[in-house]
Amino acid sequence: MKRIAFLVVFILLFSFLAPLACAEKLDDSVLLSYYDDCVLFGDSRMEALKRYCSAVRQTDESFLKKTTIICTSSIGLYAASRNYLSGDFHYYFHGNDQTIYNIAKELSPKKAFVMLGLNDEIATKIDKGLSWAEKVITTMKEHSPDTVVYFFSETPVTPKFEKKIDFPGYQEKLDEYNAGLKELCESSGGGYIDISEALKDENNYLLEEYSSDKICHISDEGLVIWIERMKEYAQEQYDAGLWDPFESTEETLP
Amino acid sequence: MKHGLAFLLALSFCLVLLPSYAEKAAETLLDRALRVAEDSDNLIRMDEDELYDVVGIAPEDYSDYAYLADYDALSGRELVFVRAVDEEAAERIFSQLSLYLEHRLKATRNYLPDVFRALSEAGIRQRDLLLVLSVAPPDPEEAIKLLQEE
Repeated sequence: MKRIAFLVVFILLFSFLAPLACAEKLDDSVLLSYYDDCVLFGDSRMEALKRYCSAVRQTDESFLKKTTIICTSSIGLYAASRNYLSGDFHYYFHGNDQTIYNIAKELSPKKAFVMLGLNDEIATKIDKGLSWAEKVITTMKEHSPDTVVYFFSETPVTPKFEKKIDFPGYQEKLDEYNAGLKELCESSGGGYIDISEALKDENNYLLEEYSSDKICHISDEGLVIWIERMKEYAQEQYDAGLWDPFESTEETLP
Repeated sequence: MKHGLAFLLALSFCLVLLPSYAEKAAETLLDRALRVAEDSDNLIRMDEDELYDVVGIAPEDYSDYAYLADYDALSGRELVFVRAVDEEAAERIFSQLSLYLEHRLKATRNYLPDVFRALSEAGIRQRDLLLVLSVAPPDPEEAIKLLQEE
């Protein structure tokens, strides 16, 4: 009797655990297709990613080929969140100064990914930063209702950055901002991709190896981590049943 | 006899010249840019989508192009070299390059002073249907050399 009970428990356990253990790990090219027909908006960090992708495409033409990466080195989240053009900081696309909303209207991307805040020194103004992020999410819905907005976490900085802007504890505040951003994204029907943790050292700062200037910009090694996190996120979406690259149906977030 | 020799000499001369001319005529703007740019080993070839997305030059306006940029975006180094399809297209391309340069100047003015300086020194040069924007070249004569070979 004991043996039978043990056998039943074992079979039940195996039926439950086996599918999890055998979760399908998708190929890199399939994972990166999660970003097809999408647009990425960013600043100088995104410019580095864009150049990295262009360099990879010298040998692999398909690498994020269907992803449009739009960047202006000096732009901040405040400037990008505005629904009008003012001042010197805006995106330039197809020969015109444009807001992210007009660009999204033109491209009709399935998803818009945003990494902005470094030029705002956003950890010094967390509440404002989150309000700008919220503005991006809500205004995008008005202009391009089929576009889902995702935010990348703000990338970590080194202690030299804190010294440069004379704001000790900036990194800690940045973690606070990222936590708030994650909550905002998930409660607004958007998405959040954390790349911050993967770039940190044991002291919670940007690992110097991952920084091109040892202050705040991302090195090639850091860009590799960024792309890896993008792939991991796509895998997570697949594992959660939120994305099926083998079907033609659109992904929907809960 | 003399006429025959002269004719043979002229023919030989042509046979030597023609292949080298054909080779030059077959050279794309990209080939020329890679040959002329002293730092071409460090430059990435950007495709026509990037030429349109970033600079704003529409594909129907040119018959050939070379768009090269430094892997390090913060260096500001780039080279845009285009052959317009006609004079009207050349005007449009010149205008787009001017707007693009203006945008880059605004974006870097208080942010990347070295790049701003390099952009301020850059200019758009044109020879017939050929246009070139050369930013921060190691050889300041780069644009002139590119156009001179036409």
